[in-house]
Amino acid sequence: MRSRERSLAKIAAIRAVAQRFSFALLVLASIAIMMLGKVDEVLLDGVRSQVSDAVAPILEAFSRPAATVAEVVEEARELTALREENALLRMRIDELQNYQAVSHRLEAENRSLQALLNYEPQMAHAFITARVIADNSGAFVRSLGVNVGTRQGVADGMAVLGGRGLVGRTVQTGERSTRVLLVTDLNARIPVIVERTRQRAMLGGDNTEQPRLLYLPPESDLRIGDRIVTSGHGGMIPPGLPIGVVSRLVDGAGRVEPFEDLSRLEYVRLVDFTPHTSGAMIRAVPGAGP
Amino acid sequence: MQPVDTGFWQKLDVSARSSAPAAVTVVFVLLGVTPLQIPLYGPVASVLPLIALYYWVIHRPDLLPFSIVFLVGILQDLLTGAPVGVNALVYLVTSWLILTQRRTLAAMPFLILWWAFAMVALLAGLLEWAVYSAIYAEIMPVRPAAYRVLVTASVYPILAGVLHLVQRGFLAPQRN
Repeated sequence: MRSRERSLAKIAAIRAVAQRFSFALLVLASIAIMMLGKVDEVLLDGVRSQVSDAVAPILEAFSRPAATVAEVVEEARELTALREENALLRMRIDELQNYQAVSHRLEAENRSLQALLNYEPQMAHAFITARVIADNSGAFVRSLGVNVGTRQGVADGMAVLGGRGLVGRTVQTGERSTRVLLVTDLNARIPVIVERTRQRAMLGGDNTEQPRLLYLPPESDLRIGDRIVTSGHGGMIPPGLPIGVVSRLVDGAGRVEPFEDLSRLEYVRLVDFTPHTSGAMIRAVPGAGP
Repeated sequence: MQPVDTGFWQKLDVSARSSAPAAVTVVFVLLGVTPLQIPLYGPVASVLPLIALYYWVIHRPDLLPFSIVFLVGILQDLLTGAPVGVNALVYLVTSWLILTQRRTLAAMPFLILWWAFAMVALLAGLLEWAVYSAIYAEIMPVRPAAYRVLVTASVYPILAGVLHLVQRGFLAPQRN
């Protein structure tokens, strides 16, 4: 009996040591992997794409019923506010019809002026529409997963649009899933211009809801409500895509409120900005261009 | 009481049941990256695995060894685009911390468990913040992390309820 107890105690002690050892080993492993990621990002990105690809079908299955639930909730909410919304929408229609008339006139004028100047038309773009299947908004990462990949012609660095404006760009492309780095992410840097003053700046995320305007000269005349659009510098993102408006000014540095609610995206469009000369499915980005 | 080995099917049954904690934790990781379009879900989503971890390390640490904790962290890092290893490290250290207090915690009433979870979430948040600051070699903003800790702590009771159901449904009570 005594020897049995002793051997049990021995086993428990060995177990405790093994556990402590495995803990230390695994902690070291995580740190080593982190360092590896810092040194060789490409290697880990490959692994990442493979894992995302493998899990994509599961996530898609998960996100479908979730979308249905969200729709039901949304519908119930809309029913209560139908009357006011109707009135508001009528007003908006009137307003937008005015805008439409103006834009038709401007488009015609623009076309005739371009003809006059022998202007080489802008490169056209193709769109790839994708479903959002993963939303990775941790405290320090802001990215989405979408259900298209290299099979559909997606490449790294493509601009990603929501219904109202730019939401981010693709950073890691798998065969059938792609990660989209949102404009609010810490690592996101998008070349932009202030639409009113044509001043160049860089839009830099810092994991808050409102990214910052970087590298604006201190004497620049920035006002709350200024629209911020992409500048097209760098060549990966078409110029003129709306992003958001300046919502706050802190010591002259602007904070930009994106047009798109980044936490509620269901579908996005990826802009293929590789230079095309002609093509059936290709048309210019609405609202883009000088 | 160890179940008596009477055959292949029973063994299979036992092993399937005892993999429930790990499986649920992995499902929480996947749910954590699923866009659910529910208000306030975003900040909660990324810490769902922490809730599962806290629950299982207290109630069934034998079924969630460090190796599984590590793999769960790596999986989450790979899926969310976080620097690989961050969550693995955070989860390892956190579950080790919980493990040291486990015997005290397991006997506590629910309110104390809830409060302790808030503390654990806070520590995990701080650790994550420190690791990120080290990786990017600059001080990260604290606000998003703090906000997340608050929201997570407030949804803990609901998810702990779910996990309790899983435990009752799949696992036999464990000797301490």
